[in-house]
Amino acid sequence: MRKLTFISIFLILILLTQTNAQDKIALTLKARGETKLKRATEASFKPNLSVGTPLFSEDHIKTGKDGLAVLVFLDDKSQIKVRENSEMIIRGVKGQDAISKIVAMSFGTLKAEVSPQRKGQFVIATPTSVASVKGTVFWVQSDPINGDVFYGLSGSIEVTNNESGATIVVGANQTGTSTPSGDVNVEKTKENTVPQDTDQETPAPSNILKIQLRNSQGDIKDLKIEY
Amino acid sequence: MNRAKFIIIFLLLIFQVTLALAQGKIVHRPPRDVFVNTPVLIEALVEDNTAEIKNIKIFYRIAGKSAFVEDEMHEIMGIFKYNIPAKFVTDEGLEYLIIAEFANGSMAAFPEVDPYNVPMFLQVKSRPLTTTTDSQKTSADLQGGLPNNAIILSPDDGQVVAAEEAVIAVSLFNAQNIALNTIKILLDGVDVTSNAQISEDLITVQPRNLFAGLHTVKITFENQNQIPLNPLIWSFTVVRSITEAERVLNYNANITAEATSEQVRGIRQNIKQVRASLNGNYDWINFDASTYISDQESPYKQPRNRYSATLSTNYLKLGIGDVNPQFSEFGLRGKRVRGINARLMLKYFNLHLIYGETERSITGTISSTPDTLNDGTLQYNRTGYTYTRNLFAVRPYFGSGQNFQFGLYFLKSIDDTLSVDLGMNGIYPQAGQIIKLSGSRPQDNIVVGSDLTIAFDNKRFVWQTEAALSYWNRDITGGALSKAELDTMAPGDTLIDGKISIEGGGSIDLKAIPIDPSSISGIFIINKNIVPILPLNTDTNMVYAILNMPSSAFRTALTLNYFNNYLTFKYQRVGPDFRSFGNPYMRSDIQGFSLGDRIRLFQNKLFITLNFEQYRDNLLKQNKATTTTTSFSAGLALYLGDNLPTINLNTMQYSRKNDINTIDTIWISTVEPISYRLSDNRESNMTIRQDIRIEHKIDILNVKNTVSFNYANSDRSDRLASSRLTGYAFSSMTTSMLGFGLNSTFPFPLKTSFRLSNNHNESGLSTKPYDFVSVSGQAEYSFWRGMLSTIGGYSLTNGKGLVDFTQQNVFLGVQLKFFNIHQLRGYGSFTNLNDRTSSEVFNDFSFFLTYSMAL
Repeated sequence: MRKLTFISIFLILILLTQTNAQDKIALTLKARGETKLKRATEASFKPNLSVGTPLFSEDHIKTGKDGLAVLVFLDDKSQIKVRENSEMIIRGVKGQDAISKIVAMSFGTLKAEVSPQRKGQFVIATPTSVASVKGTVFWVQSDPINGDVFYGLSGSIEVTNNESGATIVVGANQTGTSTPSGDVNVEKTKENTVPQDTDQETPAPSNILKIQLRNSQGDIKDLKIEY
Repeated sequence: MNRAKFIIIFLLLIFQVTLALAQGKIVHRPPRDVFVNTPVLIEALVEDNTAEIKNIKIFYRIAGKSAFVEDEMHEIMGIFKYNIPAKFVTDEGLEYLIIAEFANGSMAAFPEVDPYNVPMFLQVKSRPLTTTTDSQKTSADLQGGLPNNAIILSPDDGQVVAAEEAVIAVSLFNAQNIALNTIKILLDGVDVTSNAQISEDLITVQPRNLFAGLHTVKITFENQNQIPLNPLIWSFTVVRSITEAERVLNYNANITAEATSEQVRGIRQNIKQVRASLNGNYDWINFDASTYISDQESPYKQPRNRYSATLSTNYLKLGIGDVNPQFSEFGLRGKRVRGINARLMLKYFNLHLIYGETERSITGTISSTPDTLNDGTLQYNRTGYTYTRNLFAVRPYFGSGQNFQFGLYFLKSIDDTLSVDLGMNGIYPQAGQIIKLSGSRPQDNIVVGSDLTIAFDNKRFVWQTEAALSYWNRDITGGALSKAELDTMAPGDTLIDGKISIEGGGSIDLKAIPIDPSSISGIFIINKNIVPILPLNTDTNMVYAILNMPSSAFRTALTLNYFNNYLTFKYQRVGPDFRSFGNPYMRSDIQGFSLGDRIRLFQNKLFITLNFEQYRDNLLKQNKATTTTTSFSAGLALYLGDNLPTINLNTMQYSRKNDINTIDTIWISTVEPISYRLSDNRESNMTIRQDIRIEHKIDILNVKNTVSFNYANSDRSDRLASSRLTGYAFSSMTTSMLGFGLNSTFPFPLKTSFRLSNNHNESGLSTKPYDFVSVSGQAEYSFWRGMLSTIGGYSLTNGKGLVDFTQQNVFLGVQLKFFNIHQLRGYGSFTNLNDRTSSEVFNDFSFFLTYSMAL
């Protein structure tokens, strides 16, 4: 069964390399700090990925030390939050009712909030592993030398090691590791190890109305209204 | 691996390591669903370009119109985009083409073959064919509509978002049944549909100047059957950020400085130039300014530098500087004017006004050695000067052109006679010394005209017509004549008899002329140099005279767009004396028609183009012969799909024939010894051209290859060859060209291309043919993730026959990008030319250096 899964993922990878770069598959929702984009037809990265930029299959995204990019796929609103110092290529094949997606990650950190998918429709490929994702939320930290770490927040991820072919399933509150030497492991997530969202904070309210109230005893209290 | 596969792969590998001369290619997928009165988003990428993209322009027009609207596409993260305004999207169809200009002077086009004459055609859909009854509509409205399947991507309902990150985005990926032309987007109750980018799978609006607070979005749409779908309604909250100032004022600026040194056959030319542009918008006003400064600018030539600035709103457009306005075929069409270009655009009444200078004064030269006249006076000759030419044009027009438009126009252009000083270099008119102006004469020109457009059946039927009348004065040096001076205006007429003599007999009584010409000299200067002297030929009946006015111009065009056929019929007549300084290169003395059809088959996968046209000159039989030109062309374009080759086939026949049927005998002496010369002025020749181009993409071993093959031939022959006199020289020409190209993109940052072509030419005026064989290749490699890219190549051209030479060229280019906004480019080229015809050898070195900065 696992072999079949691996073959099907492999076939999808092959299929995804044949995609048409003209297919609009995602949209940039946030771009902060140092972000870069290289289209499939371009030789070099262009800086400052901007909000609202449509993304096509084979687009190459890179973030610098303070970079953040949030991408949303058009078919099911699956999101990828690309953290700082990351690099990846997004690919997609448009089907009749869905986009088969692959995020080819060279290195870095990302959070995927994946809407329920048919098996194999959302794949994260790193130099070390291939992860097939159903509906789930998880973090990936990928390093070509040290391997990959998957932090499951909800749902499950099926991770296959490229070297050994070994497969693990990472569930909610679990951490899966996959190393270049072929080792895989799953364990309960340790406290304070999961990366934190940097774009979750609601932007700070920009206006504060401060009303000073004084009672009959002369006590002063401030009433702050943020809007 | 079988043997054939091995050979193919081997050849590809050989070609890939060979350096090649690459050319950029525009990748563009025409939009599928285009609806009347809905903006069309055009997106394009450029691939395989080896040189920097200088600009990408889009040319678009309502199908069948004569003139394209030209505009520059805007680059957003590597995609060049342009929203064709809704007013150009009519039932008649939309035509457009994209031209990319590269820094090395090369260009790429979409469509690739003959884009101006065969532009991309988009069928524009009108209302859906399925009719919906009012009761159905009402029912759907009451129920709130059918499920829409659209997905709100951003912002989420209730989300708090920084203003600078606010983008309204809705995915239509799963809502393919939505009729795009019915989409209406309301932001806080204000219709922002016109600001939206709507494509088949995505709606995005990036609202500007969103104030902090709660905002509500409502998107309504209908399906293809005009049944309303459930609207999307949601709210989000915007908060301010530190980049608020940037949100209010959006701008782009760039500057490019270039130094070029080119050497050709030992002769070197150095050019330095700077281009700068600034454009943007602030709230409701748009601004655009650009300048081009070249060291080729010289007071002794017409301006090379360009300056322009434009402010525009929805109702008014005001441009100053160098502008190229156009408002009619016969009046003003693209002539550069340095001055003011103003346009008032109201719904029913519109006004276009232009005033400025089209030519500036140039002093020219004066002879250093005078001629001595019979009376001993010294005469110096002035040549090469040009008068300042000013132009004023105005066109009030009524109606939008959607179904009706009627315009009237007036153009006046006159040379400033005081703009060229008679004396120069210390030589001035004085006693015993005169200066003669031997060059061009100051001139005056007026054109009046009108145009009418009528369209119905959703512009499937369009009729356009235009008529104009001009007057031209070839020399206004002496100013206007008075009414009394008209008496002796005709050449040789010295008799003061109260009549104007007419060439060829007859006269006009001065009393019949209602005005004194000198009283209207502010409008047009009338003297003996006006063309024509009389606007009507009074020797014939009035109807014939009006139809054959020598300085009139008339055209009419009918277009029909039915049943996948786009039929055009045009008739045009331009009299021999018609002249407009607003369109100085227009051909006059011509009359004829053209008939064309473009047929779209198999869901726009097959295009067939047919055109026939016939024109003749010598309308007033003033010349010795009348020449008729006839051409027929046919084209076939086959776009089978992504994985199949694209094929283009074109053929054309062009003939010229005059009405001389005999060989002229020119007698030199009719007495013994008799002497005469035979002159064969008959003309009847035919040019036949064919070309075929096949292109296919092949991926081998992760290398993306594009293979192209093209063959073209042309043959120009004399159809009277058998009856020509011995020694008659006809410039027949036979050429054939065979070309092969291969572009490859490797999985690592290497791109190569290879070209091989053979060109064979035979001319009737030369004793032997000449052949060119050219092979070229180039490779491009990027370092440091594209910050540094290099390009190098080699080409070899060998000519044999009439011209005998070998030319080898080696070039190397480097491009460095730094600090995000700066770019430095350098290019060097060495050419060795061994010209065996002249026994000369040239070693030419050329280079250029470019710095650019974009903000």
